[in-house]
Amino acid sequence: MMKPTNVGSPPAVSAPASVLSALRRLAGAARPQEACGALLGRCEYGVWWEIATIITVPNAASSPEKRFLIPAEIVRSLERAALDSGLQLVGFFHSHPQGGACASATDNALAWPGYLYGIVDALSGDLRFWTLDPDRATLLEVRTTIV
Amino acid sequence: MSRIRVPGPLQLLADGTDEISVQADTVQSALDKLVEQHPRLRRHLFEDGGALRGYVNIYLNDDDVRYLRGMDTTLGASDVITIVPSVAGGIDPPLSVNELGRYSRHLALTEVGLEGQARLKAAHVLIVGAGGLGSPVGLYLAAAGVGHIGIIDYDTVDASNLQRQVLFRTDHVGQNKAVVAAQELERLNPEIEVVPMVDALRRENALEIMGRYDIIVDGTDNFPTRYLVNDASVLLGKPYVYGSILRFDGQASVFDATRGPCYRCLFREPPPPGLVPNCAEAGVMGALPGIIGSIQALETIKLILGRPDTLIGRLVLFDALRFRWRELQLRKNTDCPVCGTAPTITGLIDYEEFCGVPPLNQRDPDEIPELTASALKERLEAGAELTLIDVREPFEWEIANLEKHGATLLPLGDFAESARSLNPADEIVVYCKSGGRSAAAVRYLREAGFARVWNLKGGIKAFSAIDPDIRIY
Repeated sequence: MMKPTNVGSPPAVSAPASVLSALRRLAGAARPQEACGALLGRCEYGVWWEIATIITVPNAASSPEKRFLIPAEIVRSLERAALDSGLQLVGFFHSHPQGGACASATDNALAWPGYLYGIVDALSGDLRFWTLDPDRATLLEVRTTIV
Repeated sequence: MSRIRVPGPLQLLADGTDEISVQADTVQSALDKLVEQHPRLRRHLFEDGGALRGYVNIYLNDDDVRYLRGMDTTLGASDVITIVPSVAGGIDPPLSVNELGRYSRHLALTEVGLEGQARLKAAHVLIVGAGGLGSPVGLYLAAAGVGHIGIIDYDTVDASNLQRQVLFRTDHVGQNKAVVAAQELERLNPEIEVVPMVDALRRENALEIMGRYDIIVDGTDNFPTRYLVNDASVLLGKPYVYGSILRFDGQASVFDATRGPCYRCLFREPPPPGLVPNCAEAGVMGALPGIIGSIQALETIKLILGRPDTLIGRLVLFDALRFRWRELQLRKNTDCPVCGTAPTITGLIDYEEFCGVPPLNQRDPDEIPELTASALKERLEAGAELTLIDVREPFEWEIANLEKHGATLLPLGDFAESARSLNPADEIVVYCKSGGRSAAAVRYLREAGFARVWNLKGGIKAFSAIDPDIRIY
């Protein structure tokens, strides 16, 4: 992927079509629960991300049909797994089993800056990427290129 | 000194630092020093009251401090603190108790249900033009619970709109349509968000504005906007819900080039200007936009719900006077210049020009030569020597005029007399409020032997849409 060179250029993500279709498949298969996992690749956090592959992890939330949770110890092991493959943990994905690929108020409130968040509409397959505006605590949609 | 490792994503807010060294006795004081040095990190690590946020985990070397002595865990000289996020999120409760009551008649339909209603709530729909069609479209989409509605219209409510534009009340006359529409729709349904845009949809802003919405509903009544909406919808891969009304006739369809034909498959080019009158000239039956606009709203709701039997590939025609419905099957044209297999239109073009006056040699001698507002602006900016004549009344001139471009006021009432001051050799552009009175003046001048006379299409009203300095009235 071409790295945006202009300072202040809008954040951008590139992902292979195979990754996108895998995310849609996982989202559909997990219904009525939320699927979740990690996005691995290369990135400059908050600026651009290049997704190489995904790792799905069990949803540890107590009500997985409307929440997802990836506990810190799993995040640590995902970081290690990424490093072992020469990649970075660039972000996370989860699905909305009742539809919608926009960030919910819960997603906004719990998001970390810098990471890329993929959200899959488990009904239509709509798939959008978001990142936190670090000072406004709002997830903004990230321009996506399929490679 | 202990070290704190700042994880990659948080380095954004810590001036790129990946590790800082701090002199601290406990984990708490070490983190306090971190956020003192990098205050932008504070809101992501601590609650307002100062407690560590849930979902923030602190590791001392390889141990989670929760299993040591928490934030009071003491630090040794070579200890390394690592911040590890847990990652969480999820869907909001799909519908609140209020919404469950409000949408209960939808929830009773298995074809909608809770899932469908949640989809409506998540949907983003753009209504282009808040007029006869835009009114029922907006009312029904808002009532049905479409969660995010954008309305774009630069025009103000006129008394002549009230015969059919049911969003507006008499006391709205003179106010911007998009702004009033947004207020009214939010009064109808406070659960949704309505964004008014006081602007015209133009080549320059169409892709950006339409890009923010899932479905585009066209409620305008002019060819340039229709072709603009169509082409931009095709380029963006979004469905375009079409409706059109004139006198007693209405039509509606859904164009979605990803699944069927587009408007250009049906009408490759607009009819010659003047052949198809608009509603202002030819009139329109009061309740007709209610019927066609309701069809557009219905089809929009079905598209959001993902229903299969929409108007994609079908054009419905309604003759209100005789009360007859007809349906035409539409086919995708593989030679379509915008959605065909070898498209020649791959970006937006100048739609005013595309739908505007034909070249001089093809022009009917009785036809009034017109200049679009954007063409006039371009020529003025290029320094063209044009004589601008305003044929409105003095009180209208007081509200807004083109004096800064050298315009002269010659009201139509005395035009035969005052026109003697004009030079037949000059290139003259005549304007009024929306183009009707000036057309009469242009006709008079042509009959008097003036060869280079233009009527400003859409009058000063059209000009004010592209020049923010000119007041809209």
